Amino acid sequence: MPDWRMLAAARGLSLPEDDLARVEAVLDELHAVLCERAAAIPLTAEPLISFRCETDEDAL
Amino acid sequence: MTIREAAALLRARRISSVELTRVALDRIARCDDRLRAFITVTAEEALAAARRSDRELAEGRDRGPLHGIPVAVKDVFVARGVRTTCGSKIFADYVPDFDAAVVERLRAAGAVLVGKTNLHELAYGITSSNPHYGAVRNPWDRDRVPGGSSGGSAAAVAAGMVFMAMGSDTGGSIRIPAAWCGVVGLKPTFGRVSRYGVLPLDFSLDHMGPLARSVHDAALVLSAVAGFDPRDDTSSRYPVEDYAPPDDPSLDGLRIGLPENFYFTRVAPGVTEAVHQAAQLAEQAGAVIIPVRVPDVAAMNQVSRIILLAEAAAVMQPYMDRRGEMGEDVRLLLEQGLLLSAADYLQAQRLRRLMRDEYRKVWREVHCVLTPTLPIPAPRLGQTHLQWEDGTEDLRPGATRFVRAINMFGWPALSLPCGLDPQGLPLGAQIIGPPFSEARILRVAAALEARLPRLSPPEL
Repeated sequence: MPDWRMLAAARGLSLPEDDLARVEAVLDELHAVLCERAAAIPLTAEPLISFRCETDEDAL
Repeated sequence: MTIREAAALLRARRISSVELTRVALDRIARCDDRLRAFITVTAEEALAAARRSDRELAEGRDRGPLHGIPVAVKDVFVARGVRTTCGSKIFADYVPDFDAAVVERLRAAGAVLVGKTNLHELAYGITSSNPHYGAVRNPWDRDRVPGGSSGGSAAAVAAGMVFMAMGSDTGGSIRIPAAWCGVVGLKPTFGRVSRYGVLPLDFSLDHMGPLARSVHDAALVLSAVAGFDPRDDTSSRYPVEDYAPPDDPSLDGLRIGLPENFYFTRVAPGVTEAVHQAAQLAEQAGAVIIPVRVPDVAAMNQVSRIILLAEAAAVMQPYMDRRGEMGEDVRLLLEQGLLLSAADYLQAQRLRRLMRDEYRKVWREVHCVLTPTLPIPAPRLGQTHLQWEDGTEDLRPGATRFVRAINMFGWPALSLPCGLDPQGLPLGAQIIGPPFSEARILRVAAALEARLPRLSPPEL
C-alpha cells in the first residue's frame, strides 16, 4: 500500500493529523480494490478515455 | 400543478406567465428561509421575462410547452449577469458574461428563470448541507437532508416553488435528491445534454438533467435542452427524439430486468416492497419482468470513486491554496484525489471499460432494469453513518451504492417516486437503460406514475 503520509508530504500538502488518518483509511480501502482488480486486466485493455483526433481544417 | 397543466392554462388565457412567476416568487419569499433552496433569486429579471412571454403569446408567438413557465437551475449553470457560486465561497463573486448551453436552450424555449438553487459545496456531496449558503432542508421533514448535490433543485420543486429545476449528476446528484424529496429526476445519457457553461466537478462523469413534478414534465424539459453542442467536446450527435410519453402508455413487449443480487441487500424497511410493487405495476401495464443478475457493482462503485477523486482533484487543484475556505468533507475528498497516482487513475479507466462491457451484457436480456434509487429514505441532518443488522456504513458510499456506477458508463437513469416508507418519507425507484434510451425509460416511468399515488409533501 502506498505511504499516503509520505506522498502528501512530497506533494507539499501539509495535512493535519486528523485529515491524514481519514485520508489514509479511505485510500487504503479504494487502493486495495483497485490493485486486486487491476491485477486481472488484460494487457491490451485500453483506458476508457475519450480523445478524438480529428482533421484540422486550418492546417496547411 | 405540472408544467403541462400550467401550459394549458396559459394558452387558454386563464393565467399569465406574470401571475405564475409572481406565485413562484411569493412562495420562495414565504418558504425559503425554512428550506434554503435558493442561493440567488432573480425576481426582477424573471418578471421582465414573464412579461415578454405573455406579450409573445398574445402576439401568437408560442415557443412551446415551457413558454412562460417559472424554472430554476442549480448554481453550477452559468447565467449571464447572475453570480454563479457552485456552492463555494471561492466562486462567491463570479458573475459570468455568458449563458450555459442549458440556460440558453431554456430561455429559447420561453422558460422564465427565477433563480439559482443551493447545492452541496462544489456539487461534491450528497447532503446539500452547505457551510456557506445554508443547509438545504427536506420539505417532507425539515430535520432531514434533501439529498445532493442538487438538493436545492429538488427541494424547490417538491415545495412548489418552481415547476422544474435543472441539476447535475456525477455520482447520483440528480437521482438522490429526487428520491429523497419525492420528485422525478432524470440523468440523461452522457453527451445528450451539453455541459457547456457548467462549472465542472468531473470531466467524464458529469451529466445534466431535470428534476420535475411529473415524468411528462421531465420529458418536456429534456426535449428542450437535449442536442448536439459543438462547444462541448463530449456532446453527442445522436438524434434528439420526442421524449414526451403518451398518457398511461402500454408497456407491451418490454422486458424489464429486476436484479436478483446487490440492489436489494442492506435496504431500509419498505424499500424492497415499494420497488417490487412498481414491478407488479409494470406487469399490469404489459411489461414482462425478468430476474437478472448484475455484475460486481460494489467494485464498480469503488472504481468510479477513484475516477471522481482524481478528476475532481484536477479540476480544483488551482484552488487548493484556498482549501481553508472549503467545508471539511469537500476538502478531504480533494486531498484524497491529489494523492492518487497517474497509474491508479489509468488503471481505473481501464477497469471502467471492462466493467462497462460486463454490465452491458444485461442489455441483451432486457430493455431496462428496475432498482431502488437508494437503500434508505432521507437521513437526518448531521447523520454520518448507516446502521445495519450486520454492521455500519459511511453515509456517502452507503447511500450512493445503487446510483454511482451508472455514471461511469454514461447510461441514462431516472428516479421515480414510488411510495412512502413506514415513517411517511418518499422512496424512489430507479429505471436504468442502455445509451440513448431516454424515451423508453420515460415511457416506463409514465406507465408506473399513472398507477402510483401522486406524492405531495406536507404544507410548509
